[in-house]
Amino acid sequence: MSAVAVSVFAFLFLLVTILGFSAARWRRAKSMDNLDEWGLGGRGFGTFVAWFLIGGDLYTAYTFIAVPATLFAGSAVGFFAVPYTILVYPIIFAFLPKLWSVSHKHGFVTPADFVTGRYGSKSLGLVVALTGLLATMPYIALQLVGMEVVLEVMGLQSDSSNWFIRDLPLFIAFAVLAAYTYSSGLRAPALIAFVKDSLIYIVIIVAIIYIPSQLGGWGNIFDAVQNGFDTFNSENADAIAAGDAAPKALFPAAAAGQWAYASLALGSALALFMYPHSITGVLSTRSRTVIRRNAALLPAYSFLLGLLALLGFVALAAGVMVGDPPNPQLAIPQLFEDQFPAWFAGVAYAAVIIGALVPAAIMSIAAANLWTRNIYKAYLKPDATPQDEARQAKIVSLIVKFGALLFVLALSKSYAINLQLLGGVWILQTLPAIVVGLYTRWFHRWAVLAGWAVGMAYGTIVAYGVSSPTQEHFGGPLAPFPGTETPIYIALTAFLLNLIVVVVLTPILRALNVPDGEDATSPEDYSVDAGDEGVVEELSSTTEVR
Amino acid sequence: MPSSSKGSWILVGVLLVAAAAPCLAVPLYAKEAPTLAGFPFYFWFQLVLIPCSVLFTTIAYFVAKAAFRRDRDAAGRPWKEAGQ
Repeated sequence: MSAVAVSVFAFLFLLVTILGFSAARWRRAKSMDNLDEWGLGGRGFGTFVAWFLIGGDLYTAYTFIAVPATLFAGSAVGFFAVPYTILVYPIIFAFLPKLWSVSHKHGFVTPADFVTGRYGSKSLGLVVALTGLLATMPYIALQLVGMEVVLEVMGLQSDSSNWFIRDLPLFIAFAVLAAYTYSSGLRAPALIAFVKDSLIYIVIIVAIIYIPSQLGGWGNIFDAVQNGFDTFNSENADAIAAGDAAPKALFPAAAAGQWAYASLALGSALALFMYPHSITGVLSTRSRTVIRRNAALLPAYSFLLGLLALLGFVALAAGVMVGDPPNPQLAIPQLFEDQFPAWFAGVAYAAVIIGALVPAAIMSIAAANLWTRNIYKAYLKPDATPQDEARQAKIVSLIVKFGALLFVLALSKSYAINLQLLGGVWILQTLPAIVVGLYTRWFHRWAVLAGWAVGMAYGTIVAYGVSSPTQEHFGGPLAPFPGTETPIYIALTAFLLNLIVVVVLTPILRALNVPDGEDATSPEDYSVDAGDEGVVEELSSTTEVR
Repeated sequence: MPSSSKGSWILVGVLLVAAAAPCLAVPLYAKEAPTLAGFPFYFWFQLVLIPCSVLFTTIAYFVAKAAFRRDRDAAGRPWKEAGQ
């Protein structure tokens, strides 16, 4: 533990804490007692704020730890994070402006609100909300896993066997986060995202220029990594042949690996904007134009992510030690610890920890919005006032965060990682209801529900059955496509099955005259923009920050 | 959607496909050579795809903006310049 690194880290942490609490006064609203303000930051963020907020939302601390870790571990498909982020933005461009329009017109706060209105089915809305909650919870827990590895490398975790004492720093960080999210709502992560992204940018740019120059340049790094992988593969040839160890490679050279690579990228990109927290970020923007402009501007982060992923190779070439048994997730923080001077290592640690706080805050807000709108208001208290909703959401945001904390500390980390894997499979099953629903009402509501159920069941069972050299169940995101030997991302296979069920059942249900719910939206609602009748440009703000 | 902007919206679709599709053609770029500044082709090609994708998405943004305005003019609905 370096006193300099810890002091720099503590200073930056204090700075974002102050920012988080003062965010309640930023773009001050007349009242914070409703979900549009607390849960969507007043729905008035412009291009600049939205860029930081959405970027801060999507590129989480766990991404920063886990993506390089997979390359460090020699997984040939780990770099899929790059095509994944390339695919995300055209998808955003195509469908999110429609969702923005219809949500603004009808005051929808969550994707499940839209589904309820579009299909005239509270149960379909409930199913979408529950899927969102199920998928988001482990995602929040993973942010804690990301924070934990940094605290471990910093030496801030004591050796005490009592889990409460050992993880006290994590508790403190999370309690502070919970407090300012409670008081400031979405404004807190929006403001902190400026600091987060600036720090992350600085750290990564320095890391990819400075560290490779210390190691003799990128050519040397790739050579060293390739040699290391070749040695591993020849030393473990028997174990690899027996399936007890996975071969290591720089990139997928065979067709099977390439299918896996492309399907992971496509499946993850389609799933990303089904996550409630991504939609929360998008719905907080001021106009359709802000979304499309951001679709063109956000890929700046993709470049960053690609370079960051390669730091996994840099860590390998630098001979970073990651404990015994090895934990590849320590690779990046340990690389910073080994290669940076103490004060800059402190900046880097702060960047990752703050990088966990922003998405954790947005995710807990999104989860709270889902609970409040689609369970509490829809089922428990239909006459809830906006004040009731805001109060409920604030409390739920606390419960969600402490639930995630207990989850990570009391249970095992691998639960969180397994559930996150399942979360991606599950959340993609809401795509027919949400995205297809934006374009057509042809799907019958019960067909959508049946497709969802089939996709969820299939995805869960198949994921359970995947074993890896280290895990009997949930061993990875890939399984052979039915009828072939080619490994494909399970979420994508489940999604295809889901779509087939919906398309087959819809005409059958129609022929049987099963009542299809009433559509609360009309075709013009999908193209309204700020300034139209019934679409308030900025809900209530006394200051303009642009 | 008035017919005058239909072509523009098709162009937007084509541009978005052009922005997204190349990274899915993994067999085309999963190779070692030629290297650039020490990076194997596989890695630098995907990094170069990012600005290319940005370029297509940006053009799509401007085409869509113009088409959206034409549609709204034709429907007699106002549009306004969005802020920053």
